[in-house]
Amino acid sequence: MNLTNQQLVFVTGKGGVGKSVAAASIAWSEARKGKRVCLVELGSQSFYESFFEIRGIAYDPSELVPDVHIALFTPEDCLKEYVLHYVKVKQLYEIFFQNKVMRAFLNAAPALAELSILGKLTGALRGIIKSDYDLFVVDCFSTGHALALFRAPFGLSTVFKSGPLYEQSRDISKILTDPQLTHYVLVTLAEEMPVVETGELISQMRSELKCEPTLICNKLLNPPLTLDQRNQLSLAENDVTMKKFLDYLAFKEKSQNMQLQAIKGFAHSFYGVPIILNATSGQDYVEQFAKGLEKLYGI
Amino acid sequence: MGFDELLKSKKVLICCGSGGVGKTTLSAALGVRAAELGLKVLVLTIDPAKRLATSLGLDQLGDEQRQIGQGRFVGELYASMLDMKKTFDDFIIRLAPSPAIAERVLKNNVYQQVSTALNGSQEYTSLEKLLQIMAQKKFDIVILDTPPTKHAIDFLHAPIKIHTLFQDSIIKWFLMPFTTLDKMSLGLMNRGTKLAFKAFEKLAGSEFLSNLTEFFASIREWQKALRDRTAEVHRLLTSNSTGFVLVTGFNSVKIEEARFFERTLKKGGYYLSAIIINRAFPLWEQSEIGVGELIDDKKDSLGENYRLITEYYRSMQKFYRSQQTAFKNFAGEVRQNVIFALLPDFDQDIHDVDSLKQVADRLVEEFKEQKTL
Repeated sequence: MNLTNQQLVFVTGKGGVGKSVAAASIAWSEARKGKRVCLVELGSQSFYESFFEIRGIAYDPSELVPDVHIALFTPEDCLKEYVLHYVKVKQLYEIFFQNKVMRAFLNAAPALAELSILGKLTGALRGIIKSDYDLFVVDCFSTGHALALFRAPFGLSTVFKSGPLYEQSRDISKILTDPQLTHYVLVTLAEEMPVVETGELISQMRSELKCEPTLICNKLLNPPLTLDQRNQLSLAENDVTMKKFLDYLAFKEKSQNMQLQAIKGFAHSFYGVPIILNATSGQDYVEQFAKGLEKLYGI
Repeated sequence: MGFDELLKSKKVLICCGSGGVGKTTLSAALGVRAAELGLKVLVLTIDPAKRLATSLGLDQLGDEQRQIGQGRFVGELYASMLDMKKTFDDFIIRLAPSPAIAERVLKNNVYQQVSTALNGSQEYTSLEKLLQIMAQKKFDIVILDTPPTKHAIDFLHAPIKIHTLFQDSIIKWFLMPFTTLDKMSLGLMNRGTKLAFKAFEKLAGSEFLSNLTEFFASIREWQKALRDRTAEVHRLLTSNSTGFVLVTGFNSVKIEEARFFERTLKKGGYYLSAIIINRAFPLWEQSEIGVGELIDDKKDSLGENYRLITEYYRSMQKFYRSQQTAFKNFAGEVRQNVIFALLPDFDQDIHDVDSLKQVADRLVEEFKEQKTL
């Protein structure tokens, strides 16, 4: 994948398409190019802990492999750091969070958690915090929720008309819409529903974020023989299972090609990643995946 | 118990699961089966991506209940999509003590920005809609397809956030300094609350805070109504005529999630009825061992290409079999009265009533097979 100098990459897509693995692979390949990368997952539970079979992924980044650090940004942690940044006094922020009412409000308040996550991610770009990393790769929420995250600062700058939250929302919006700083990656499968959803998402992102997302098509079937070669196999009469398997491959390939055609309707190119069947570990999976990010398919 | 008995014995089925596992398709398939059994069924979907609409081959599915495949079933199948904004507005209008107050809330800047964006409001609204539908007593069974969440359990936790927000104490808290706006009331607040409030004002700006206060002032009147409503939702969810169906994908991470979901439901007094593992294996790889074996003896005479494709077959088979082992271990852990079903990855896109019927048939059939596991 060809990232220039962007310092923030968001990876999103419909649930189950392999966003997290894609994000990890991007982090991997960028680290290979000599960047110091922080892979960030959002939410309250870590996916990477079970995937990489490691423990202790937390708000403060820890080393996964040299040059790739990993962190889990929970909304609570982001909000805390965020409030602390603005109220300055530590005791005050403790009062703030120990107050039952305030906590209930912060938990339900729309966009505040989102804003604090984005605040943390863009902190270095806004010159507010010092960063040890050249690049943040964010394993973002899935489609609908990701859009809500990206929209949060735009919505908030109309709700808050003044004050630090207003200024911050405005600054974050600028970073999210600056292609020199922020890049978006959408992961899809070559299946009807994910493709339709990706098409809708890409047009919304183009118009609202003024961006041109990179597309990754995951779990592509790549049989060792072409359809013609497979048809020329002379199978035994009772080789029922192989017949079924070949029918399956033929069907899957046909619908896959149809969906790749459909992608033409909204994208110029994509990275194709074959289905990975024999990964021996999370790291092995990521490295196999990263190979798929080396070649861009033009349409 | 199998799926047929489940559909006949429950009034509400709630399909939960993280995003991308095929919840909407399976909700629709269960709807088709219920209609085949002679029931009058409604499938209610919340998903903004309009996936059920695609599943049913309908381009646009609105807030109204549309009949699907009229005359095709012994029973009747209806589908409807939740209009969040409308449901929330209706809810406010109905609960408001007067039309003037309702209008004040609907016009409030904070309400307009937040009503559909509050964390948990999608879940809250879908349950509100479910209550409305249940009150109509129009259907034998309602199948609720829940919003896509990162984790299956989020659906149950989300409404609590909204409920807490509308609690009396928080409303009073926001009203205090602005309704009386004098030194007295600020003086009456305890020191901690006062400081927290000031910190919040500094962060959010005073205009936002006054909008927020106006919003809370408007809804202060209907505390009791809201509380009653929440209690009703809870009653419905824990009723023995309501069943939860967990739809999940097939890998070790998802199984861990299913395990957590099962435990949490049990603790909360909810009824877990079924766990459906979707797209667990391709159709050529049958779940029973023994089927799906290749004719090995001929492979040398068939040449290099046959060897290549056999290798590919074996790597795929190994991949799916290792997943099935993980599933069987999990199935062994869970209570006897939960239906388990493994569904294949169908060799086709599921987008019309016919293909949904195929999925439903397979569900019933798979269950029969797996009972003997």
